[in-house]
Amino acid sequence: MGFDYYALLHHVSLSSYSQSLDHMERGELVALSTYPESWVATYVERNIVAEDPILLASQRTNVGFRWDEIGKIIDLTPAHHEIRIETARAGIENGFTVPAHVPGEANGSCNFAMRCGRPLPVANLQMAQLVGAFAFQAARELVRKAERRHLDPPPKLTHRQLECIVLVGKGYTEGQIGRTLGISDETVKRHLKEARLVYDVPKSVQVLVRALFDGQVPLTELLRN
Amino acid sequence: MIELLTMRDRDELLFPSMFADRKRVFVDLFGWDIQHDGVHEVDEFDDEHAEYLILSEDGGLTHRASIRLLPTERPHLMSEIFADFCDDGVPEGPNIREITRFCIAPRGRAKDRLVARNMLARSLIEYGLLNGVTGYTAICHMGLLQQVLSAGWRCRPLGMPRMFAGEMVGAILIEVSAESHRMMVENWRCDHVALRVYEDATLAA
Repeated sequence: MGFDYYALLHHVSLSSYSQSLDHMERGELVALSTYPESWVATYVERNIVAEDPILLASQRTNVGFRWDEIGKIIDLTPAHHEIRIETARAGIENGFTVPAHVPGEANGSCNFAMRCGRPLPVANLQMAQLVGAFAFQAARELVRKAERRHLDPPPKLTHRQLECIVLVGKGYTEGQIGRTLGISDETVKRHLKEARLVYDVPKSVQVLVRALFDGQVPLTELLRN
Repeated sequence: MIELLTMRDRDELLFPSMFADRKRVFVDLFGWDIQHDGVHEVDEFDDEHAEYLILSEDGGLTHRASIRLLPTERPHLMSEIFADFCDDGVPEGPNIREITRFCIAPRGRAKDRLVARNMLARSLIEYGLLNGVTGYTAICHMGLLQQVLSAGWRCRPLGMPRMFAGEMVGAILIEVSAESHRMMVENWRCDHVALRVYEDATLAA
């Protein structure tokens, strides 16, 4: 896209950022970057995240913005100017930031930056907007998988319960199900009741929907005559 | 409770309540330049072809959140107003619906509104799976794209985002599959059965 550097991060303390890994040590939050090493070192060491005017501006908006226009978004303090000057001294001048706000999570952003003296590829900013959003989600996804926080497996229905539920889905009455499977009405009732208990829902149709979504019953099975 | 309604159910009290919230959200809060009568926001696509997934409270009297679904084989928002936003033509067909007017009532705590969003989004995927919908198209504000993506859904941009009425928006296609369902339940950690399926299966039909 014509940018020199990128940095993808959640706006939190970077104390657990590992330079050798180029990302956070324990994969709980996102921080990936190709910024010059010396700048990353300074950034992490001084924990600039909290006062970085670019990140501050990205909390105030939810669409991408150019760094040379952040004055429109926030009032720049002398401390902010100082950080911008230091960033330039480290070799990074202008950039484009795509905020990444997901409700209930730390704010984040995907930043695209240019070496000093190199102009922003203005024609590609819309592309950067899209790529930033998708890249951040991809990183979130990696992190989520790394969490290894397995959700409870879906409840399992027995073979017989599944057979009964599929026939419910075909519109059979309990009597018809019993005749089809060669079991008594009472047994059909029991299978359906136990299936409802497994999913903790009051109606058999709800079991069917849940079993469909959990992949225990393929849709094709229901549609087959 | 989430219900699937059409304009045939318009006598229900829920409709005026939804149209009033749409006016509050889209006109008063977002400042969209769209038609309204000062109280309700209703447009030409609120016709007999539109379907609505509506989350209500107070026993089905008050609107909490809703989505309007339009068939894509006939004129809809993307084909009529945003066709330029799709590089390879506007996706259309019996298995594609357009999502418009995603509205969450601007009341109550943020946490409750998030729960409402999750329930509605989940019912959207459930509706799709029950009705053979393979994709939803939508015009998405770029500020909301991250939120949409965070559900873990497979989304495809249909063209470059661009400015429309002062906002950066883009056309997207959300793919619907059992995987979309699983991803969002994990990603948004929402596990309440959302779409109400009646025993007589009128809604599931």
